[in-house]
Amino acid sequence: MAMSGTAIIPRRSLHGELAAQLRDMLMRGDLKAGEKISEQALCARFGVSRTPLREALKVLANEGLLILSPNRGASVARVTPEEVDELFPIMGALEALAGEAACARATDADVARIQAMHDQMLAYYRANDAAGYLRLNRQIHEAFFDLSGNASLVQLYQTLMVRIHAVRFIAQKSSERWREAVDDHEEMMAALKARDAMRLGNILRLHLRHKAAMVHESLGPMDSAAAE
Amino acid sequence: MNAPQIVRHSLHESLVAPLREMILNGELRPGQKVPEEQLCERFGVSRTPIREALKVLAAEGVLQILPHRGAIVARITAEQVEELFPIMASLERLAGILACARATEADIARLGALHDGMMACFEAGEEVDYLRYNRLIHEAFFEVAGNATLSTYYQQVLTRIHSCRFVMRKSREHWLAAVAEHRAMMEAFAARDAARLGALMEAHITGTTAGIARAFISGEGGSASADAPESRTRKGRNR
Repeated sequence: MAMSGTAIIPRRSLHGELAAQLRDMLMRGDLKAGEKISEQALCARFGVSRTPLREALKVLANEGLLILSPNRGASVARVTPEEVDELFPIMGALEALAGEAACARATDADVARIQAMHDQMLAYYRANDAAGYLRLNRQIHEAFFDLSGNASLVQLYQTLMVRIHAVRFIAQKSSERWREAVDDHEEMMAALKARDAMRLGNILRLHLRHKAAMVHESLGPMDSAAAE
Repeated sequence: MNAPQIVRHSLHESLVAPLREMILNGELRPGQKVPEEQLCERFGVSRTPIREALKVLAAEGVLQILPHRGAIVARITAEQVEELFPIMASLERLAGILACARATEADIARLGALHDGMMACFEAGEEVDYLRYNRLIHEAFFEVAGNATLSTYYQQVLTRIHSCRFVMRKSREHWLAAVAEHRAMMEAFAARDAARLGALMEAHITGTTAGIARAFISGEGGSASADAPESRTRKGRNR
């Protein structure tokens, strides 16, 4: 797949397609934290029946993006500022370890592959395409974990990701925070190319502190309104 | 009337912690079959919640569930040591940094007393009690750090590596190195030097502690005999 230049369009099930649409709605802020999901409205909007919609809601609940409560339906997961303070430093520690291990293990081809993702991500940034940017952003972070070659670390990352995902890739960020994140990523690429493990680890920890600050801003309704 | 709402966890969730402790204190040892029937009796529950709890621990890699043969406590391999000790080091580093920021004078005094107790055991050559203090000290850093998720991950990783982390009859060199590192850690903690404590704890785990684990695993040769001293750390607890 990675060899061919054309993007392969993934064949998705109906509920998989719906889950992707809902994820985009969450990312754009059409559905806000704590908001109750109206199944009826979504069925009407997408022209589908309840069964595939509910399957899609379960997928998102499993990712930690929605909360399903018995008899009360689905609502958008709400992350408290306390949880952000609890979870992001752990993510920073795990990312730093992944980056350090990746530095030691990456082949030149691996570095070139991540550089290509990075360049593509910057292209999305310049085009102001938040969804594309976030997709590549996530792929880059996952590539560090893949390259670490540490299956236990990947498993721990995924567990934490389920809890953090709700905010990490969805929070609305100000243009200053977005610029800051891009600068962090430029630093990461430089450290990776220099195979400077300690430097990459330090940048990743700092990057996650920046993300936590960004999420805090988006959790405060005043701040996020000002950032729009 | 009798506050019936207290139990918020499902039954199998409340069984995970005591089962984890049985592995941590050596009652259930690597390679041993998990005695489901005995556990049902001991906890006064049916097989279903026990099996659900075992599945949770299996998902963490603590147990292996074999079809038709029940659950077996996982043995740690040399490869897993190389995976898990760096993770443990990252968690400990973060705990040390957070603990420095949050520690009260009482916390520092409490850790200091544990450290002194551990050093007295070292001087007297009492390795069992030394290891008990050692585990308490590391746990205390996580308590002071005050991050519930971090403590949960620590317990998860510890359950997998404890059999080669708190090891008896380690070499004199390893023991001396560990003691010297602990002394430096306490100094950094007392000075609330977060960066230094974090770096020292990370180096302690990836260096000396992992070295002890490697030596233990290579000398173990697949026999369970080396685990035996671990069970003596809790005298008369189960036998």
